[in-house]
Amino acid sequence: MKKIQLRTAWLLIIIYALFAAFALTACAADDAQGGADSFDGQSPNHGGQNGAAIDDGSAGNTPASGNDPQIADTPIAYTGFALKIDDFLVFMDMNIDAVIGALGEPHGFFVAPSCAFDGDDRIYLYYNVQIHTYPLGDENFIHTIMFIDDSILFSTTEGIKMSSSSLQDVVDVYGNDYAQDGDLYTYTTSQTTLQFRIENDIVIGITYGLIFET
Amino acid sequence: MIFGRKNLLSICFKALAAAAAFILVFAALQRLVTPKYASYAIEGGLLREYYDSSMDHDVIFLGDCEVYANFSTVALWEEYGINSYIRGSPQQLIWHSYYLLEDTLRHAKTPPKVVVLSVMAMQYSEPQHEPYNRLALDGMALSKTKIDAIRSSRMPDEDILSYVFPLLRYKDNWRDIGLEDFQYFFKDPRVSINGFMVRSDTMPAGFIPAPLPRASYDFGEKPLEYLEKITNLCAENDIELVLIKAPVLYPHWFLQWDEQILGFAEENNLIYINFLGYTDVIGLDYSKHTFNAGNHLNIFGAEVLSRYFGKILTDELGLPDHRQNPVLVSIWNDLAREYYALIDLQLSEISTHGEILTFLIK
Repeated sequence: MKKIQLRTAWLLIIIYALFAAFALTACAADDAQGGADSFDGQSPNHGGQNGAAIDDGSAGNTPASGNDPQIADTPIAYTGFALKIDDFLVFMDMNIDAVIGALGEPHGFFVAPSCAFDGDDRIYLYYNVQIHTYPLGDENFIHTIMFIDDSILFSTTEGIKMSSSSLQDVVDVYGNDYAQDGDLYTYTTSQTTLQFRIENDIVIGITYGLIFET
Repeated sequence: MIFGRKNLLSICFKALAAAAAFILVFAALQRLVTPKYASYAIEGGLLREYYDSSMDHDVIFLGDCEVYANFSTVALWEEYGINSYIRGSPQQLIWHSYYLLEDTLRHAKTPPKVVVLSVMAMQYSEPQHEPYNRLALDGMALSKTKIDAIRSSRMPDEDILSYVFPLLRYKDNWRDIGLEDFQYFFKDPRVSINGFMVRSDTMPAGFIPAPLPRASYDFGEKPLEYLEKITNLCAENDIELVLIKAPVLYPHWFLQWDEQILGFAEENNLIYINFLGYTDVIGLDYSKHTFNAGNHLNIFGAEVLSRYFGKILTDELGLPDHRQNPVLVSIWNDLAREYYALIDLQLSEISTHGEILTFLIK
């Protein structure tokens, strides 16, 4: 009888310890967790600071050209800056599959692996334009478009050209409401940025970016 | 007296037994839910393995994948008798490297003669992702150094206590407890040969993307501060510090960054080698020496690079050849056996299945 009581006591102690351990973790973990939980399978890149390299927090400017272009035959109403490639408007946060469907296979493709986790940034080359994507589930969405030189495609949808347009040309098209950081001039609208690198009054770099929500 | 002496002893015993049971259950639960890094993010196992090494090392590598994927510790041994260990982890930041150096000095009986630091992480002024903090810090043995490392590395919403008691961080993993959590309950899987991760597959480099523009190319205060701390700690311990940039094609290493490192090296009388400037001399061929299109070298590229670097370590830094030391020979023979067995296995898997299936050391 005593033996049974002892066993019951031990059992109760262990059950108590189990409950206590879980109770303790439940209380403390809410504080400890924070946001990222990528060991549960989420890519650490998603929605994070890895996003558009050119987001500089500049206040909401609107291009002087006014209306945001839209794609008529797509069910998603994309907004913000977009680059026209072969008469197809490529928007930030667009699924890359839509671009590949419209433009065909890219001329170059590169996977920028995360050091350890699943979910890689992918970079697609169309002509001389690099399109960078971030993974979300099994799909990839555009976060950056960059001109890598002034060959083939060389102007924004609104006509600003690599290697020939000046700051005044940029201002004439997009207005004065830009943020300047050194030789970088950044316009922002609808969670997207359009950035010009201007040296010696000539546009030498054009980059479109997505501003990630934090 | 309310309690008799016997009763008091009995109560004390029961309280102690309850406390012991609690600790035991807590520890067992913690062990069960903590990632084993056997089938996912296996790089997470890299840092903890260092403490199992039964020897001190002449060379310690510190850094991210630029070191643990690109330098073969076995090639350094076989070619030059250099006894090295790579304390690398994914996206290891400069302050992680500093505390790992401090930890190495605390752990090793004799300090290393040379510390090789990858400078790629100088671009980061702040921790980037909590999971990478975990990969760098969870593998460190608990000590004051680890606590200092956590304090310096944690992101705003990270709790120090969750590093000391990982159960607090991984408690939700109980839903996903699987076979490997039991398989590796008592013994962690091994993922490296003295810190080097073996990859025997090949994916040639092709299109390498142009780098995205940056508003500033200046290194931040924090990485510079910790680079100085590493420099000073090495100087205090009579360790030669060598700064390196690995010869991989992506991510981009900007000229502006290179100039800043060069300036720092000159000011502090350090050796800085940007291997990207010597790829032809080294003999690297990115059509066959990389397993992911120029991001990392594969085993063949790592061996080529290590032979080149080993000569510099031997000729210019005077590292001794230990191949006459029977104790070290015996240890390295075992490591080399595991190394070649894994390479053979991976090559056979590539030939049979078209891809590598085995990454762990048997």
